[in-house]
Parts: sequence; C-alpha cells; structure tokens
Amino acid sequence: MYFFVVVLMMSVAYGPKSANATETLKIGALVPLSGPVGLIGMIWVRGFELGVDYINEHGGVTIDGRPFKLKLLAADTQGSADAARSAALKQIHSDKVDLVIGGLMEPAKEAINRVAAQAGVLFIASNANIPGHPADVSPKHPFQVRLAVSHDLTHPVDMRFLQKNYPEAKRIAVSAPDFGYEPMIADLQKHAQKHGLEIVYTEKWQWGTTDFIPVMTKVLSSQPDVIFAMVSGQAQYQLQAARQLGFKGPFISNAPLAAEVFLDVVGKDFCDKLIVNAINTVQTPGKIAEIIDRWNQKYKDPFISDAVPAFDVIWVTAQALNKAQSTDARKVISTFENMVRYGDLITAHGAGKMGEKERFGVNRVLVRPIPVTHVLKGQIVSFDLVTPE
Amino acid sequence: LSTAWGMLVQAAANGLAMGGLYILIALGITLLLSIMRILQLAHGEIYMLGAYLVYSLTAAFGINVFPAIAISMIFMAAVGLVLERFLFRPCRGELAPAVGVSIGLTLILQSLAVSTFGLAEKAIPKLAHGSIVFLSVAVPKDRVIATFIAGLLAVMLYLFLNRTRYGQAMVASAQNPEGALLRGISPHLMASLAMMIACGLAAAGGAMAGSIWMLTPTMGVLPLVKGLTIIVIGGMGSLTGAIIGGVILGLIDGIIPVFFGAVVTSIAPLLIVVAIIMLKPQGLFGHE
Repeated sequence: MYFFVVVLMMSVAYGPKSANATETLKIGALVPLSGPVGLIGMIWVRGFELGVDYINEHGGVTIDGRPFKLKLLAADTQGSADAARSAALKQIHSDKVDLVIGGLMEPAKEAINRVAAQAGVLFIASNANIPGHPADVSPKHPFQVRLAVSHDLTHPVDMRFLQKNYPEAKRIAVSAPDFGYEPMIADLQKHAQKHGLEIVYTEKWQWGTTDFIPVMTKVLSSQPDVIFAMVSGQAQYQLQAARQLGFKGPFISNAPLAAEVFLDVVGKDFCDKLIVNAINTVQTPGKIAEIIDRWNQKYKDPFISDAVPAFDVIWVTAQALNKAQSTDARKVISTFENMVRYGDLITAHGAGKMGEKERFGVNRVLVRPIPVTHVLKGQIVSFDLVTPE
Repeated sequence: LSTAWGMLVQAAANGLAMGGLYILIALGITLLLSIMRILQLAHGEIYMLGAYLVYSLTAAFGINVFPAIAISMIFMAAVGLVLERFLFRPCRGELAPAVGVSIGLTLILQSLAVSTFGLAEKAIPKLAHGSIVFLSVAVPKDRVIATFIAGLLAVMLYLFLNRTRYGQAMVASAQNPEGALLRGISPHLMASLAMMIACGLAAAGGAMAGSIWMLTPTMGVLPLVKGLTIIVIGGMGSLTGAIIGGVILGLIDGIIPVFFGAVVTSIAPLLIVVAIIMLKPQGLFGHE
C-alpha cells in the first residue's frame, strides 16, 4: 500500500504536464528606477509591461512547442555600474530569470554585460545612448543583442529632410550633452557635408542642465541657420530657450520625444519649423495607436512616447523566441543574427530587421523605420516613417 | 551690439531673473534667522509646495497664473503660521532641534509631493510668452516679469519693515529680543509674522521658477543652497545683504556659464564664499 502511495505522489510530481498548463518565462528588467533618470526608467518598465500584457493576451511565446507566459521582474540599477551589477546578479542567480532586458545607461549596460556573459544569459539592451560605446553590442559581448535603433541612423534622414524642405539652411549648430557624443557629432558632420550643410558650432552642456538659456546664448552666437539637439530628453527646453532668445530657424531633435511633448512644454507659437525623429499622437501608425490606448487604459499618467520602443523590445524578443523555439542565449542570438531582411521582424514602427554588422562586427542591432514628424506653426503637418538605407 | 556684448546682456538679464528668485528665498531664510534664530532647512520645500499649488490651481481650476501665485502666497503663509505654532515654536533659538525638525519636514513634504503629484515633471503656464528686444538682444519676457515681481516683493518687504508698526516691531525683535519683549512686543507674534512672510515669499519664488523651468518634488533643494550661500555672502540677518548677495549669485549663474562653462560656474560661488569668510566673516552687510 505504501509503495502505491509513493508511486502516485511521484507520478503527480514528475508526470507529464497537462497540455493546458502554461509555464512562465521570466524576464528581468534592469533599469534605473531612482536617481536622475529614475522617471525614464519607470516609463520604460511601463512600456515593457504593456508588451508583456500584449504577448500574454496573444497566447504568450512558444518554446519547444510549449506555451509560456511572460513574467516581468523589474529591478533598479540606479543608472550606476555597482547597483546594476547587484541587481543583475540577484535577477539571474536568485530570481532565476531566463533573460534580462534594459540597461539604459552605459555604465549599467557594461555591468549587466559582464554578469549576463558569466551566467550565459541573454541580455537584450533596450537602447544605446552612444552607438559604438564599449558597452554596446560587439563581438566582445557575445550575449548581448540591442533592440533599439542607433540614434545616428537619423542623421542621413534629417539632413535629407533639411536639404529638401529648408534648402536655404546651411549652417548647423549642435547642442549635445557632454558625455561621449563626439563620434555621433562627427557622423552628423559627415552626413551634413554630403547634403551641402556644415556644422559651424558645437555646444556640449553639462549633464543635469535645466536652464538652457546660457547654452542657447552660446549656440546662437554662432548665428546658425539650424539647431540640432542631439539625443536629449531635454530637447523641448532647448527649443524653448532658443525661441525665447529669438531664433526662428529649423530646430531638429533626434531623441524619441513625441511632438506633443514640444507642443505641451514650448507652446504652439514656438513650435514652428520643428523636426522630431519621434512619433506624434495625431498621425499614428496602427500599432503605436494601440500602444497609446493600452497605456491610457492601464495608467492614469499621460502617455509618454518612450513606452513605444520599450513595447517593441518585448514584442520583438517574443518574435525571436518563437522562431528560435528556445530560451538558450546562443540559439536566440543566432536566430536574431539571421533575421536580416526587412520584414523578418515586425516593430511598432513597421518592418524591421537585425543589422549593422559593418559597424559593430555583429548583426545584433535592430534596424527599423525612422519616424520624422514635421511641425509648422504649432501644427503637425507631416509624418513619415523612413526606412534607413 | 557685438556678439560678445550681446551675449553679456543676454546672460546678465538671465542672471538677474535667477537672482530675483534666489532673493525671495534668501529673504525668508534671513528673516527666520533674525527673528526666530532658527535655520529652516525645509524652506526649499515651501518653495516647491508653493509652485505645486500654483500648478494645481492653474491645471485643475483654470485660474490665471498671476492670481494663482497670489493665492499660493496667502495659502503658504497660512501653512507657515501652522508650522511656526506647532513645529518651530518649541525649538525657537535652538540650533540642533530646529535643524532636526526641518530635515524631517523636508522629507515629509518631498514624499507628500511625490505621492500627490508623481515624479514626472509638471509645468505651470508661462508668466509671458516671447521676448523683449533690448539693445538688439532678445530677453525672455517671463524672466523680465519674474525679476520685476521679485524686486517688487523685496521693496514691499523693505517698506513693511521700515514704515509700518509691525515691521518696526519685527526689526526691534530681531535686534534686541529682550528689549522688544520689555516694550510689549510679543516674540510669538513676531515669529508667526516672520514665518508667514518667509513662506509667502518662498511660494512666490517657487511658482515663478516653476513657470520658467519645470516642477519636480526636489526642485527646492538647489534654491535652499543658493539662499544659504547668499546669506553667507550678504551677511546674516541683513535684508540689503540678501538682495545684493542674490544679485551677485544670480549674475554669476547667468554670466559665468556663458563665458567660462559649467565647471567654473559651480566653483565661483564657493570661491566667493571662502573669500568673504576669510576677509569679512560676518558677510558684506552683516554686523559684528
């Protein structure tokens, strides 16, 4: 009798699982949730959550023919290497996550790279402030994939747009934060020259600057035709300061800050000749509109556009997992590396692919259409999604 | 104007506006130091709450920004009355207890702002849009208006202290508390008045700063540091010192970053403070 009871218990414990049972795939989100960029980290977590909800509502992901629901575990990196290392160690070794996503700040990404590589866990970086930074994707980081476009892919798109729409503009002044943007500035110069433009002045402002009047006072002393605010979450304040100081020319922001952010902060009067490489909520592709709806249903705070690339990180990861049929880091990365044709991946911005091997030595960077919103006299007059060459 | 002069005029105008906001907070701190003999380290949070109140009044009730600032000043003055009566009166004249109470109050008020308004930046409607062109240089109108309002409030405070009975009583209480008491001047009443004026001025400063820049729960920290720096420069308990110190600090913050960069800007006030402590420890307008 005792023998039968033991057999029965073992069969319950170790027997085949029901076809309806769904397992869980844990995703560790490592983002700054405190400190100077804590708010941005919080928005990214919300975007990840929306992505997880979406995937789970559509059946989760399938690994080896078995359905898995996604579960997100967020941890605070504080934007620093030490805190990121501790958080990554906890998530990987204690929480037993299957993969980690996030990073956001280069020091944190570098630390996550090391921990993930030692544990053989997939690290999906959700952005790159400075493409080509030592923390970015490269053959040296065999477990990292970046599901975010390189910001400098906007440069040829923006220069072409300028040449076409503002042919009289020739002199560009660049306003950039003072942490390692030099390669991107050099890249912009290259593309500017190709389109008959020239960078005449570069102002590097200190990280944490809130008053951009002194910055723009210096920028405008170079008498530019165009101001290019390089990858900055404070581009709206830069536009405000420039307009307050009397600048009337085109202003470009290549950060993923929606046009509405500028309209809200700066006002319609000053939002003229504004070009932003970001979405807007007026002329919105279907999937982005769906993300905005989901945000509005789930959160009481106004929608913030960083949630779109965050959603994409989860959505694109799920596509690769489904294709790889595995959570093994090497298999998933290999799958990503072979998704090199537009359409192999679908993003909220349209058909995407993995690429940029010629720059980074590996095909592990997401390439997808670049949004260009054009605002004239406070009105969004055009929106395009331009596929990078 | 040549480019360099144009930059200088623009930077000076910007610096004066910042100086005006610094003065409003420094005047409050110096009043509290003189009358109550306490260092109110939560004064930056009064500045922050004043700004959030204006945000609420403009966003939720659609009130114009100028009446909203006036309402905020009155409300925060009332808050000051409550704070003086229940928090600071027991520790008046005592350095350590007042510092402890004000640090605790700082944490409570910041947490209150985070839980009520969230971490996301908020915006108050602009005091004015556009620029005024002066000597062929564009100066943002909102900063000109902020400078004017700050100057007006400073003049009103000066007139109150020098031309009214209550103001004279406050001055007497600050200069000789025992003598004032013997003349029937209530130290409690003077402390309440000082706290109300200080909180009202801080609310005005916070609201105008929130209109020029943005609102965050930690927006009061930097102005508090600036206010304390001004008091060291101008002299403890001196209104003239607070005003001159505010102008000096504002001009440093406006002009130095344009010509010498952010690093020099952050060091310059400290160098001035060190120089003043070495040459005139009581500050430019302070008394022995």
